[in-house]
Amino acid sequence: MGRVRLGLIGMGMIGKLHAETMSRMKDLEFVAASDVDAKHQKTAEELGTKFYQSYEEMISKEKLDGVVVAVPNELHLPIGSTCAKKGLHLLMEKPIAADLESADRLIQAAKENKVHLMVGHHRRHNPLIEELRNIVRGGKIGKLVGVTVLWSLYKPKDYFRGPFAWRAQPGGGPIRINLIHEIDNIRYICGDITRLYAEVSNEARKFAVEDTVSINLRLAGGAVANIFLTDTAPGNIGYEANTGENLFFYHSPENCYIYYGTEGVITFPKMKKFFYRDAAKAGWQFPLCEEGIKIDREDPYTRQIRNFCGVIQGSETPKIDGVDARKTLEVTLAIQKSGETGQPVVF
Amino acid sequence: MEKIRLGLIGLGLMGTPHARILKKVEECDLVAASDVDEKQKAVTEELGIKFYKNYEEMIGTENLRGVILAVPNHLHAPIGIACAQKGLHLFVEKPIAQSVSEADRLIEAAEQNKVRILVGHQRRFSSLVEKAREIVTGGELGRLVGVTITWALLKPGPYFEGLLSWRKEKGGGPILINLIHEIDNLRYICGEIEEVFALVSNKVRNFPVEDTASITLRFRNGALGTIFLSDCTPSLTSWEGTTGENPLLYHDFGNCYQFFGTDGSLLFPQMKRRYYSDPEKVGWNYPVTEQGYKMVREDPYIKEFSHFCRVVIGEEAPRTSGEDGRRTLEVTLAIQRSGETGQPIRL
Ligand SMILES: NC(=O)c1ccc[n+]([C@@H]2O[C@H](COP(=O)([O-])OP(=O)(O)OC[C@H]3O[C@@H](n4cnc5c(N)ncnc54)[C@H](O)[C@@H]3O)[C@@H](O)[C@H]2O)c1
Ligand SMILES: NC(=O)c1ccc[n+]([C@@H]2O[C@H](COP(=O)([O-])OP(=O)(O)OC[C@H]3O[C@@H](n4cnc5c(N)ncnc54)[C@H](O)[C@@H]3O)[C@@H](O)[C@H]2O)c1
Repeated sequence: MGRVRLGLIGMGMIGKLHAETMSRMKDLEFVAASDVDAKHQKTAEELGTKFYQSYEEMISKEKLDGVVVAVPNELHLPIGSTCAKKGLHLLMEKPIAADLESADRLIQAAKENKVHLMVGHHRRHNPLIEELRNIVRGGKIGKLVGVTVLWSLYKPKDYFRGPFAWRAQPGGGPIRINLIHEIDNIRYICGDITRLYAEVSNEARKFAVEDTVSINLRLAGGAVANIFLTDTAPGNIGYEANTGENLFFYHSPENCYIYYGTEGVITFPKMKKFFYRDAAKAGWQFPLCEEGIKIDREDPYTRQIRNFCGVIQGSETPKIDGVDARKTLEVTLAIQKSGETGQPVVF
Repeated sequence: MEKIRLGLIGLGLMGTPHARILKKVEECDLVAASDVDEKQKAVTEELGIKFYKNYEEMIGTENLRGVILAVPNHLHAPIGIACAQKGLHLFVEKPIAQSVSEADRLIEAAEQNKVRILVGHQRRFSSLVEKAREIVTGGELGRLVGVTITWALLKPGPYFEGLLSWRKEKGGGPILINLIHEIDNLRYICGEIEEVFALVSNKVRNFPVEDTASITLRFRNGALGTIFLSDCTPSLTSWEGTTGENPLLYHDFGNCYQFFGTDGSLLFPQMKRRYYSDPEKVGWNYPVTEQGYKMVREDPYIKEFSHFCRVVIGEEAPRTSGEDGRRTLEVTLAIQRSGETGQPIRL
């Protein structure tokens, strides 16, 4: 098989990033891109790829192996299944679909048409996250005891204005938009979530959507995890700001996760391991040892596209397939529900 | 001011250092102490105060104005009530009593006999906690939206052995022994707690008592709290591991609490406030400004006992009244119960 031939549907905020990424990559052919909004033609030209206003025209005229779909959530199912019917492999932006029923239908469409379905939870492709997963799953901090996740990034007023007024409405808030990434990370690193509870508040902004959430999770191995999330407090703590993965966010060198094991503790993204060296001197009266972990940085969006190409060529499996991504969506929606009903949810 | 005559009951782990500190408190004169265990007489000789094996004899003969109770929890109510009936003001070690109903009986006895209760939550006298309270209640963070607390450390093997094996049993663990301090701090700094939820685990040590918990709190003012608690992981992220308040335990200079408000967040105990200093540059794409607070180190116990003396003479209202100590106990017990039932509890 020659170079993988890819198309892009949707050239908004994240679509543009995918376009830039694909245009830089030598091992694939970025054949064409499409957006209903003609203003994106300019970007396509700059990046040296063909532009279509109609994605249907694009997928019938161009000989493609797969498409990257980066359109609004409600369009994931219709556009994804149309492409699947054309035999195109799918890299769908996250969330897999707008709701669980649509996710099921999209998974079914991919299955029936024998195409691969991969979902854009790009953080799984970040070497920092991969290493954290290896450490935890490889028992390098002993048995996992617990995890704390902090996300306190202040959304400015403009974030909610004009065409973005939907972000102040139910479903447009930090649970669906931001927390879903945290859930996917925890699932990827630790495994399944078996029980959860959430308290949700909108008292600070008084919008219909939540601004602050506190979550407790029980994980399959018996460990517990906490998440505290607020988009209305000046903290600059959160994956986006701390990893420097996306420099739109001010890059502040803080830790947003701590993974606690019986034999060690890892701070993320600083990737320091803390432990007691001498069993006879282990406990709260003794100092801890600190050790750095070497990680080679690589852009997760590039690695994601590379994984997609490998999947299409049959040499790799998707880091996250449709069924896995559906589970992440299911847990995220359950958090919303727990916040509404005041009851824990069991899986 | 005339020195206030005080007696102390219970010369164990807590009572012995209390006796030594009381000798340094100017406002009072510790004249006698009592313990059923004759071995504890040594410290009274060292301090030049009278020793009684029977506390009833002590309070019958010594013409005291107040007593310090540092006996096991189940004796707080019965001994406290007996002292109240003699007209003695009470300093009761935390928790105020073994159960909420016993706390009620003790509070009622104090009221009937017109004596005041101060409960020994000494952290309220820590200058760090005083400052944090001033910052939060004074509105320096704007509207409080949440607080995160981590109490993660490793209790060494001998902590659970021999005479101390009760610490493996229900009630002897981190929720009732340690978390109660965090709860009292939170109530003091952030206000009343009205709902709690806990996921509790004993999967690491496999003792009947919990070793790890993930907790959510809702405050009356709408703020949310997230707590991670574990005594089986090599970590210094705890009050003990960061404040240096307890000279027997190792500490580093991390943070164990973080308070989040609409105008700023506060790292504790580093006492750094983060906020956006330029109103034109507010949001996740801008850096935060960090402001420190100059702190003085003071011995919280000396402050606490001086305060007790002023409570005895009616000059000050107790900083932790019987009602307050009762509420802290009630919240802590509710967390324990939520862990058992798996359901949130409204208080
Ligand atoms: N992985 C991540 O971190 C991440 C980040 C942001 C967004 N996303 C996801 O990416 C998707 C897009 O989000 P966004 O922020 O880029 O939104 P956006 O609104 O900026 O972009 C969506 C684009 O799709 C175009 N579009 C709409 N209908 C179309 C159609 N029928 N054919 C072709 N183009 C069409 C729009 O014109 C727009 O340019 C969403 O599912 C979102 O959840 C993921
Ligand atoms: N504020 C804190 O941080 C803190 C820390 C530790 C303990 N405490 C509290 O202090 C209290 C005592 O705890 P401890 O660790 O010192 O326990 P301990 O067992 O070391 O000491 C209790 C002492 O009381 C004595 N005693 C028992 N019955 C008596 C009686 N009828 N008359 C006189 N003496 C009697 C015992 O002989 C023993 O010496 C408890 O309520 C505990 O919760 C508070």
